[in-house]
Amino acid sequence: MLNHSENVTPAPDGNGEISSSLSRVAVTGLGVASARASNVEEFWQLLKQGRPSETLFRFDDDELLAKVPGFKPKFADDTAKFAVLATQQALICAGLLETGAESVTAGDEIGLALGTFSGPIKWGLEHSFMEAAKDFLNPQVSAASSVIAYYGSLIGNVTIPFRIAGPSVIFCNLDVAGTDAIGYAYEAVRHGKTRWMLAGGADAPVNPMIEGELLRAGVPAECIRGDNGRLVDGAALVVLENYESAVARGAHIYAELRGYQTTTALRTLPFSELLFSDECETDDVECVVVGSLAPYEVNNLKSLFRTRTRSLSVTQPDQVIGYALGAVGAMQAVASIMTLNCGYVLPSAQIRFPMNESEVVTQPGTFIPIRNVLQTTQSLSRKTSVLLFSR
Amino acid sequence: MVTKHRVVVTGLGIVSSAGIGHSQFWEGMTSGQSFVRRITRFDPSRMRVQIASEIDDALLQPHLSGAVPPVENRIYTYSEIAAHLAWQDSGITIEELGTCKAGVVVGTSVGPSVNAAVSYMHVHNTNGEQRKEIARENVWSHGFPAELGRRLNCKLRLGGFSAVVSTGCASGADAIGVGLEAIQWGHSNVMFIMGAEAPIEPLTINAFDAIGALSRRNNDPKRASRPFDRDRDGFVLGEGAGVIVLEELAFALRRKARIYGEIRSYVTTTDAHHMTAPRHDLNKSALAVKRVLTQAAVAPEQVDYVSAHATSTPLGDMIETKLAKRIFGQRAYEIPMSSTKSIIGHQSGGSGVFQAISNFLTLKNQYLIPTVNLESRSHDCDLDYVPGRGRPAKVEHILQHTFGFSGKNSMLVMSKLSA
Repeated sequence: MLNHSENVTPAPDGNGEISSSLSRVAVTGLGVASARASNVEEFWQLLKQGRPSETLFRFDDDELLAKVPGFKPKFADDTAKFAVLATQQALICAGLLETGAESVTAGDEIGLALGTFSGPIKWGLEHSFMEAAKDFLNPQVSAASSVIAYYGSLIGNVTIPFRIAGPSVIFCNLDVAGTDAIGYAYEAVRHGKTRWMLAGGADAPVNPMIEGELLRAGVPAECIRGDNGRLVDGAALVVLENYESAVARGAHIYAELRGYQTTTALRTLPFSELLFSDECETDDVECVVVGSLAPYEVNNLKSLFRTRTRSLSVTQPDQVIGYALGAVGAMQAVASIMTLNCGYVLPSAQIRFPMNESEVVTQPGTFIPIRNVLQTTQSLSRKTSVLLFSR
Repeated sequence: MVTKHRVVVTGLGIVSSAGIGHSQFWEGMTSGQSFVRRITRFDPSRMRVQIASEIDDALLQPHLSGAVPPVENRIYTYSEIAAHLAWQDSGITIEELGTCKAGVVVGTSVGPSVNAAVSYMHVHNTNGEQRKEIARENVWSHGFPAELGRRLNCKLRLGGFSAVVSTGCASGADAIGVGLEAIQWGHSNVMFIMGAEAPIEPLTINAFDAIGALSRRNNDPKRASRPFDRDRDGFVLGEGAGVIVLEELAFALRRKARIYGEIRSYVTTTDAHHMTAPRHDLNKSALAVKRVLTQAAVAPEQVDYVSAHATSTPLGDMIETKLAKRIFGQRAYEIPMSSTKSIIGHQSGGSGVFQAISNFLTLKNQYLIPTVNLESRSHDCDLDYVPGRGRPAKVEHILQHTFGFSGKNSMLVMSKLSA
């Protein structure tokens, strides 16, 4: 019989609702594995250079994955493989996993929130969809394909090797999936749902289905395909942790995550709500890490920052490290955190005011004291999600 | 200090093989019959599995303005109808939605991937330049789960928190959980939660069959889905969409909404053990139940009914029975436990929402749905599964189990609204 006396929830107040205090949220681990950078250091160096690497990482020999002891590639597609590599780095970076060790300690207290857009679709195209095309009324699907070709398999692939046993969820929120996963994880730690959350995004968008969608949207083929194309497979994850817990165990704190907002309608709403709820003035934000510099995104910044827009550093990491679709927000987050941690603003587009598109000019990278970085990610379906990181 | 808002359910909409709309659905759920049959939608004769719980076109037709949709678009039709019904049922107006923060969470596992497969088929079976043109013209985005969320948002013109959750068969329960948290954590006042799936097509059926998950009782479809029975041999796929309207209690009271009940808590844990099989030691599933009851401030002895996952697989039903015994001890034999799946099959990622809708109707009607086809007990499944026919019962608190591949254990506690 379960003993109900443990951890009894505080008694409700007069109207039946419960009040509790919120925790601060620290970032204590980072991991990146993509076709353009195999770890955070390479990722950061590329961003600082301001130009993409010329070589692409592929999974031909699975050499890196062999260093993840509990991982079984039989049931994993490229999205999962990148996610596993980035997870291992982030856990080691946070001190939750020893190098070469098979599993984390305190796995029950670590949760997972992962965002993806195309997830296992690349695998589906190469395996099960092809079988369906051959014989739609009786496609021959292997057992491995059956397991891999659903989005939820990402959970098993990431949690099993490291024995992560807390809450787990996969978000499929288009381009903003990675940002939303981090935002959800932030709220989970802040509200005491769990002590640590591993959060970020993973995707393998270099596949005919995504290419077809982008072609239909009018993106030129040369911008999509091949080694010079902007689409890139990869994953980025961060470890979010209860701030007091991080301090108590002496963890390195890369940054503090202070807020998250999302909306599907009024694009500027989440910015003002985010800053208002965190008692942060627009003057306190020195750098904005954007998902794109489309006119609507620039207009959002103009309406929020007004005349200050001209002195704002605006960085778009995917121009250098590639567009990882559902993982793009997570890569933005790692760039935002590294910007704060290193006190270095990446080569950026500076927006003049008043302005039009031609007045976005590139500025070289520079060391300056930075207190706050605002991250904004948007999708074609009018969804906008924002995060606020602080030193 | 922040206030953790209480969350109630004020609207239900469902499209299922047992009926469309919650009244017809409830009639089907309490009828004591199974809605499984031989597949009629396409010719399944070359497949090993030829049965499913299909939504009959005649049921669907009165809700359509045009023709019955093809296989690859059914999920969108089901979703649209269920959302409309839930919205109507909640009585919430566009004006009221305009005064609050409202959003959407969708849970789906397979989602519209057959739409992508059909698009791929067109491209694959076409050559040369023409192929390129088709690649360009195909609306590939219709093959991604995110499209379900986008459409629901557009239909209801909501601008708040939105998410599409895909965690295998636990997707629906996790969608409810994420929606609950969106309100509890202050992101929303109202949330539309949808669980949707349309997996009755050859690709998904053969995929589940390849891992030995499905019943092959083709000659006796009505008796194929038989949770906890000695002769169970796997689950039967079902389909449809369910939508639940969640509201912050204070908001619902202010607009004098009809309240079905309250969602008290949601907890999910992960086995971190195997891609498809559950842990035999129950460590993580028991942890999830323990936490969800604690957070709900509901003691084990207060649970009146367990809404089981009960897929009708030999291993799953046995493990779930062991879990009930671990949590409730000897009292497990006194707590009724049943599920929707013996009646309408398994809607995969949608099933958690179907379960929840059935549970709120149980709270409203004070009546337990039966486990049909439970004819011979197996030695490892010996609890009270409400066999054969439903029955009246006093139900205050319900514990919902939902499990998913990848080791997901997602639990909800739902209760009658108390002061």
